[in-house]
Amino acid sequence: MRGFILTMDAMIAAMTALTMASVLSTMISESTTGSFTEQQMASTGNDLLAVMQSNDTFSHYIGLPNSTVGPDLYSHLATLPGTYCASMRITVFNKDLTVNNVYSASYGGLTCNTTRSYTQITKMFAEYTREKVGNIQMIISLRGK
Amino acid sequence: MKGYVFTLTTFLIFMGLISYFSAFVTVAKERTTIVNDQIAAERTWRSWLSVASGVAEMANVSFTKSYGTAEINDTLPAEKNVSGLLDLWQNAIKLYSNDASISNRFQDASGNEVELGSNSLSNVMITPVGVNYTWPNWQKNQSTIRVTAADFQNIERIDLNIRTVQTLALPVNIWWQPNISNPSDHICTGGTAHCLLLNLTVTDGTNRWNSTGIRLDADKITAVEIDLQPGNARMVNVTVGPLPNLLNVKTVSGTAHTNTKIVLNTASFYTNFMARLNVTSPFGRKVTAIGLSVWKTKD
Repeated sequence: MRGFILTMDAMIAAMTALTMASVLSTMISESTTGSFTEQQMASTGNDLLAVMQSNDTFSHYIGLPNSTVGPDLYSHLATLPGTYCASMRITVFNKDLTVNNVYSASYGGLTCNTTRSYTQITKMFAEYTREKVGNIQMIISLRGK
Repeated sequence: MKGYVFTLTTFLIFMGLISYFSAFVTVAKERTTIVNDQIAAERTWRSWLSVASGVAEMANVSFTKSYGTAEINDTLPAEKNVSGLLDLWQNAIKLYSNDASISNRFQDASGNEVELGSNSLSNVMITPVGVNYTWPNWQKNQSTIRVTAADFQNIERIDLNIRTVQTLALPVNIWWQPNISNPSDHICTGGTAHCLLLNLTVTDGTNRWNSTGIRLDADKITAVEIDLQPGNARMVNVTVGPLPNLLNVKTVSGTAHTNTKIVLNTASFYTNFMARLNVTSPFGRKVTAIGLSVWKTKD
């Protein structure tokens, strides 16, 4: 009888340990996967911004209305992988750092999921001729609710 | 007895599971650390690159590296208040780029914060060849390529193209002063210690003058005055020598876009602003001179 009880105790302990290990390993695995996903999103987003900046895209936006810039921004965001959704907000500042204009666009609509993995990227740009500086805020997340 | 065997077996399995789980957690933690480090390193690098490129934009100067040639595009004098624009850039970075997770800071070699608009920073160093491209201040009414006699050997040739905004005074009749018809004076001879091979071209888009392949003694002053219309008050002066002032371009009531190609005897060089940029995040830090070199693979 004593052996049986000890065996039962041990079995329960083993089952508890297995359950805990299973739950924790799943959590760790998910958090690692999340980091990889965030890294991938950050790299992809930064690459997109680097291409846009090397083409002087942001400088060309200065002075244009949002009705012109918005669709162009959207077309750039639409080049991101289909599993991502993203939003971009560009604030242009005057010499005295007052706001000159704000442009924004989002891609992916309501299917964005910012509760799990998402990345926020901040970038600045300068424009000599029109004496302006700009701040770009981009948020990339996974699609799906 | 049977119970003890079961208990022992279960205990061993339990210990095995703990060991396995411990190893699993360790590996997962290492993997997460690596990923976090990569994210931090990439973020630090991207931020550094973005902030540094803004400095060159606000100084309105571009440096391109193509194998052994450093190509500099500049406009003399500055058409805007460069000092003010550099300060604007620095303030914008402080306000809108820096946050709790990342900091961009301009500093000197000792780590003290510097104001970018300060005239003491109006200098670009081409290292390790010891060539400096400097302006006396951010108004940029003149630019000078400075090199010591010891480092002069690193320069093989300079191609200077000047495009004036104003029309060249006609007829385009530009003379080296003093007159280079006296070869023993300023033109290199076999015994010249520091001989500069210079290709100078001046154009206003229509008229053109060049002094192809002139070899000048860099230890003596040789100057060219380029007169611009209207009147005699507008001009661009180009002076060669004496070292360490190798090549000086000065505008007087005129505006000139300059394209300078410094052909070096090495492809291993970097072009850096005087200030350093310190980018710090909780996971990483990058503190280096503000590099301007953009590697050009094709002409």
